[in-house]
Amino acid sequence: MEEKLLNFLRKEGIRENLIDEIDKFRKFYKVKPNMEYRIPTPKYNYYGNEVWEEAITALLCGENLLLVGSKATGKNVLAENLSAVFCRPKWDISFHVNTDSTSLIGTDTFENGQVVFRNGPIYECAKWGGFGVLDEINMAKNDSVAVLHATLDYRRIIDVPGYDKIEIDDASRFIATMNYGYAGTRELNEALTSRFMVINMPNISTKNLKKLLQREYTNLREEYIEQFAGLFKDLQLKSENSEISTKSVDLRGLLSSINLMNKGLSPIKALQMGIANKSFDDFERALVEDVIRLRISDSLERNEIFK
Amino acid sequence: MIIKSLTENNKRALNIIWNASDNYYIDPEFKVYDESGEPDLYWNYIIGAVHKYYDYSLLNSFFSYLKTDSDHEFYEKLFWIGLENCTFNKGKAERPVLYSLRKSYAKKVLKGETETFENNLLNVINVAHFCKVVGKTPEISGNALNILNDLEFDDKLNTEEIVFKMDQIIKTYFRFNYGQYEVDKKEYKKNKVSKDMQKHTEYGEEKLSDSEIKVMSDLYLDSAETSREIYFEELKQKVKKSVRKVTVEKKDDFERQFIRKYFGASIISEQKTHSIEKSLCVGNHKNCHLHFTRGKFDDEFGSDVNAIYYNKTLLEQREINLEHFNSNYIKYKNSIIKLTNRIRNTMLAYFESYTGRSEAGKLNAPKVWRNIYVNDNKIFTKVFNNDIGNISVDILLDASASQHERQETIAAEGYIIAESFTQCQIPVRVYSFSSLRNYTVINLYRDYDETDKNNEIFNYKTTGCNRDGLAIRTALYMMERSNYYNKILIVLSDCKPNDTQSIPDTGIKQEQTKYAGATGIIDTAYEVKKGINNGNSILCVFTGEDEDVKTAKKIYGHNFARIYYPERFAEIVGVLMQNQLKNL
Repeated sequence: MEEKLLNFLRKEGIRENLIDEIDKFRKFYKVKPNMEYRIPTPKYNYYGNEVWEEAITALLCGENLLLVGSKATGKNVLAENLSAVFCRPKWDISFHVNTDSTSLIGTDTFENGQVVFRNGPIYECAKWGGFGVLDEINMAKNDSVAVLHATLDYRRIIDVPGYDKIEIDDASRFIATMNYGYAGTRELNEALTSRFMVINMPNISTKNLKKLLQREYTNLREEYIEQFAGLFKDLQLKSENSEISTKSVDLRGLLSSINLMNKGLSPIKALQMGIANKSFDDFERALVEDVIRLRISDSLERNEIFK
Repeated sequence: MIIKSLTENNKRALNIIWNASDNYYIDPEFKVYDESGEPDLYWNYIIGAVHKYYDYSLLNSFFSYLKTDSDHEFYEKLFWIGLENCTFNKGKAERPVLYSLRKSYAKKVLKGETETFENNLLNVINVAHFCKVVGKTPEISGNALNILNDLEFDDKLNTEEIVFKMDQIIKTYFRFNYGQYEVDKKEYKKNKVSKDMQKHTEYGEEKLSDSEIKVMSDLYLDSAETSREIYFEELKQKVKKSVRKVTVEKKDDFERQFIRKYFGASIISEQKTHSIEKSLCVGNHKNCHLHFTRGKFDDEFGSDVNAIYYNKTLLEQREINLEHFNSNYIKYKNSIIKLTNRIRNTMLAYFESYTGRSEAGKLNAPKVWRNIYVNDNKIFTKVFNNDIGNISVDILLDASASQHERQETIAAEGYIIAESFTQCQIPVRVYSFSSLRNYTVINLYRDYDETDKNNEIFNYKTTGCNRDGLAIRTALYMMERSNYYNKILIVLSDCKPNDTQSIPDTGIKQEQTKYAGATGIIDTAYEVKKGINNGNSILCVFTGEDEDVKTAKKIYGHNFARIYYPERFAEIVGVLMQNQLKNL
């Protein structure tokens, strides 16, 4: 598995010296056997070697990462891929408005009639040298994330008032993701932002989307890989020109639609569910349907798409 | 195939064409709708793809050349049959769906479900062409067959070769109106040259002239009107000679009447207007007057030709504003959604209350042990209120003649802001200002509670001058009288104060200074500062030319946004609003 991922990186054209460094990192920082179950096995691979190289270099240098991008740009896929490549146990921490220090660092609990401290995910991650994925970090209030400041900067400590102060394991890294401008998101304050190296996640390129489809659906015919990738590109272009909103430019929706087609639903209906119906405005939906109908015929059957 | 422009489905057809051409900047001459007026997917694709695969400028000049014949529609349609053939062959590899789209279109043709052409030959060729598409042998022979064979261009031909081939077809089989063409060509060239020159000179004269012309025409109207009034006045004086003493007031009445005629009935009593004038029309604005209206036609002037004419122009401008908005519906609607989200988000993220642990407040019994064992004093819970109090937004549109060229855009922008705040349940009031003679007219479109009246903003029409200082002073005066806690004023202006009515000089000489240039700017900036010092937020969405950006900065400081790209309107205004809301 581990070798497979490194081979994937080689195939993606990642510089060999980076791959060597990853290998050294893995050999130097061993994972405790009781935590091995937390090392992820990615379902999707992240495609895009520039982003890969940026992320790997930053992590090797001990930096934390902030991945910024609109939906379906692969933020979580990359985070998962990175923990797999570096062979680190992963903690997923979803941020929301009510996230506070107790849900991050830990809280009191009773054990055998005694009040004890129950470790939160950040604490655990720091202790076991894991990768902590801080998902949608800008959903939380800035003051409640302030407890992370000492964790994320050069001090690398967690100080729990009334209990203990621990130092963060050398192998620990934090990877935050955020979607700027979504409903409910706020500006990240500068103090927090300055503790991350920031990667602007690009929209998936047509070439990489084709690779993704090819790998994901091995029975998909070549010409329909072209068509689905082309469809996504058409929608992206339309949205970039402000003719439609981003609601229908939905990679997750496209992949789910292909799954439904694979199960036998008519392609046009599957795309309607996965893409067109995501926009609730009648006119916009008509525009999206026009784009679909210029790629996929109304009468197309499953066996024409799949081998 | 109906080639015409329908506004309703126009946008959809355009979107198909843009999609096919991968180019969202083209403005195609041809669009295709089916019998029910719906855009035809296949043909619009072909039009878009022609733009993609061929040099359309060459084709375009050929189409113009065809237009020199009175029967040009016939040649155009014939040419499109040929173009369909080669474009399909070029595009089919990229989009296999074209096979089925083409076939289903061909079936429609054979069933007679598409438009039949007036010209029989065209019908025959069209049917024969699509007969071949479905794999049947067409039942034609002779010249018609030859034409069809020549017409079905090979996809290996480039644009020049296609144009050449089409020209050959026309020359071989038809009698194209050469003479006409030659003459026309010369004339066309001549026209083109003179038009170009005209364009050049128009440019040379600068945009300034346009607004100047508008001001001049206003003034002209104005003076014509005045002379008539004088005429009336004279008549009146003849009837009633004894009223000399009250002429000053009479004059005021006449002026006011004229303003009412021009802008619509007053919404407050004359007495109240006078009392407002007393407190506002002082200092630099002494001798000025105010008029508050909703632009509604004053029935008192039901038989007055001028009043009816003004009202008509107002309604016409409303139509233009609405049409502009509708033709850019998607863009503007997206702007509203974006801006609404931004405002709502700021309100959500910054102003919600939250409950937290505290050293005082409501005792949290389960946590009491912490105080005893771990010395934690925070065993109380307290609601931290982030409530900033209610907000109101006033939108002030500059309706002076200098904004004449962008009336539709400003109406749309005003509408976007008003609609976005309305959707966030924030009360909005929208009005415009302009000055004519010594009256500054405030035209109210909607008040705070009239949430369903944002449409009235499309009544926006520019005219006359602008006395920004007095307008802002009046707006602030109106805002002071509302019960909201936080008051925001958004001014959409080109920041070019200019009023023919001077400001009274305080010097010894009775010389008067014009309310324009530095004088106007300083006065406006002063009013803005005063408003901010009194606790209001004043923002400006700058709508003018580059050269006046400096002025905007002088008046509004950092609180102004310049819209370079209309598509980015929502983002830019959104950031401005966000910063303002955060600082409340």
